[in-house]
Amino acid sequence: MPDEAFRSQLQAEVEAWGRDGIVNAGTARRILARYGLAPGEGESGAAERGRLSSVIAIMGAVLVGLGAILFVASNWQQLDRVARLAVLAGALLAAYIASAVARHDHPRAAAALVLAGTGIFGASVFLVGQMYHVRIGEPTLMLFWAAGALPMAYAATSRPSLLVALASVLSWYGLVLADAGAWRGPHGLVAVAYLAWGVGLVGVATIQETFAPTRPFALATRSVGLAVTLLVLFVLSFAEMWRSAGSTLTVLPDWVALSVAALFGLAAAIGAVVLWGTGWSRPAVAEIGGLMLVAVALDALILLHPFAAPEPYALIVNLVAAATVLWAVLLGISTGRESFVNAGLVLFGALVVARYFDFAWALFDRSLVFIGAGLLLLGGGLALERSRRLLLARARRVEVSDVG
Amino acid sequence: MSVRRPIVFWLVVAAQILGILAFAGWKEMSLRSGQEVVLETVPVDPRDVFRGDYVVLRYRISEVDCSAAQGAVVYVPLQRTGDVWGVGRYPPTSLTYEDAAERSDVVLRGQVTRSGGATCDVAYGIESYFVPEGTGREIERVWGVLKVRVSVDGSGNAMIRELILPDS
Repeated sequence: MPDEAFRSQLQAEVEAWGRDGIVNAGTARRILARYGLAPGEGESGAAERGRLSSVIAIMGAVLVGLGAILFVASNWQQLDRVARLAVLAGALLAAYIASAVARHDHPRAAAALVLAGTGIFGASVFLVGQMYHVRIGEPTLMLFWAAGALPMAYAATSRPSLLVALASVLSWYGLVLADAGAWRGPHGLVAVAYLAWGVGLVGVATIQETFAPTRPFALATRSVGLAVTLLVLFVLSFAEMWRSAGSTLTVLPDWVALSVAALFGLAAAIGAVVLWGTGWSRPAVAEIGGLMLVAVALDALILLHPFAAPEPYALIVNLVAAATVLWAVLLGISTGRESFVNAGLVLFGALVVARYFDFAWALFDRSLVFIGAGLLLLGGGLALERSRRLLLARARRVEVSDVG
Repeated sequence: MSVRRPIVFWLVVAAQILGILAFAGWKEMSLRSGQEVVLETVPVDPRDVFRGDYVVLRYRISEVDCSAAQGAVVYVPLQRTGDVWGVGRYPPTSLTYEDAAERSDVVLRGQVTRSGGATCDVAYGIESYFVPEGTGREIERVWGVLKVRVSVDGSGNAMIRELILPDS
């Protein structure tokens, strides 16, 4: 039986071959099915059971980690400081030893135990903080968690641990901005900062794809970057955001603006490296260039504050959002990346529901608004799902015809 | 999951455990070696005092005269009056530790959380006090007359040693 490192490497390679047009979707599935990585004909049931066992194992790991931490937390006062540290270090070590023992025969359980270890590490950081009365919302604790989770993600090829690390880093930066008062006043700056994180992470994902050891993490990193960018775009699509932009930025200390500028510089540099590194390939230009265009357009709306009223701001930002939906779906179809099609359609659905409430709330009786919203969700959801399947089928056909 | 090299995996495990121990060791050192001061709290809205298993503390020195921007780091020289410490000679804040240390032996490092005209709200990192489950209500009952024993290290960082209840 091939070892896990080979399987993980193969999965990433086949995904890259598919994107580069070396193999079509059917061939890719057959190669993966040969090594038990994707369902072949008649194997979908086994794959489903595998996914189910992964989900159950991860849920079990989360419950074990939570239980251990709750046990320690509820008996906190009865233990002295050395005993508390011994319990935390012991729980951490036990999770990783169990993971190492299960690695060969039960790889899914081993992966879940690595995630549990990453969770116990984070909880330990916060419990030590609690032991010394470190204030609630202290950003460095989140950074500490990320600093432990990130190397573990790479050492154990654990995508869930990478997601924990990315979430911790994004939370750390949010808490730093909160300390500077950025959440209370000019939310626009927060949006600008997270746009830089989103674009930067998608760029990092493209770099990860070019190196074999980091290739298995590219999909998770790209998904987080794309989700952050589209979430910011959705938040900015509300007319109220117009009021938070412009002159209010000046009340923040210089280092906040400098850190956001540095983030954007870094994101632009990563984008440039990616484009240069891929020889300005069309998919890379469409992906990185498109995202950067979206980010620059939104930054201009927030930082330059060109409109004197919220209505033209709302119109323009929603046009940018519509263009982004189109970009994500077309890019998904042309590159065979289902995640882009899905993300584009989710953004479209969220925008439609949000604009419906914007317009209908003031015009109609509330009961009618909710009935309308329910019908919109039912009808719109079915229509979106049908469109999604058609678009994904088309993406697969495009991929096959390109190869043929 | 696939472990790239077992040695790298175990090195990361060791680094995580050592990191937690080092974090605790650093805090313990700061707690033991810092200068002890007692600060007075001021009453806050009782609904905000106890959230879960910790108490939100607001001190007399949490609001000071200053014109620093929101988010700026400031240093507050302290002066002893009786058994408690409060804001020292005017001006009450400095932008560097050295400047503040010229006016007092005990200096607190804080971050401006609200800047409004001539006064600022300053957070010193000692605004949360964790309590055993279910004891928050007892603290609420004596709220307004609390004192907090704090340890201050050579860079102005403060840590809570204990909460001094009226009858202790």
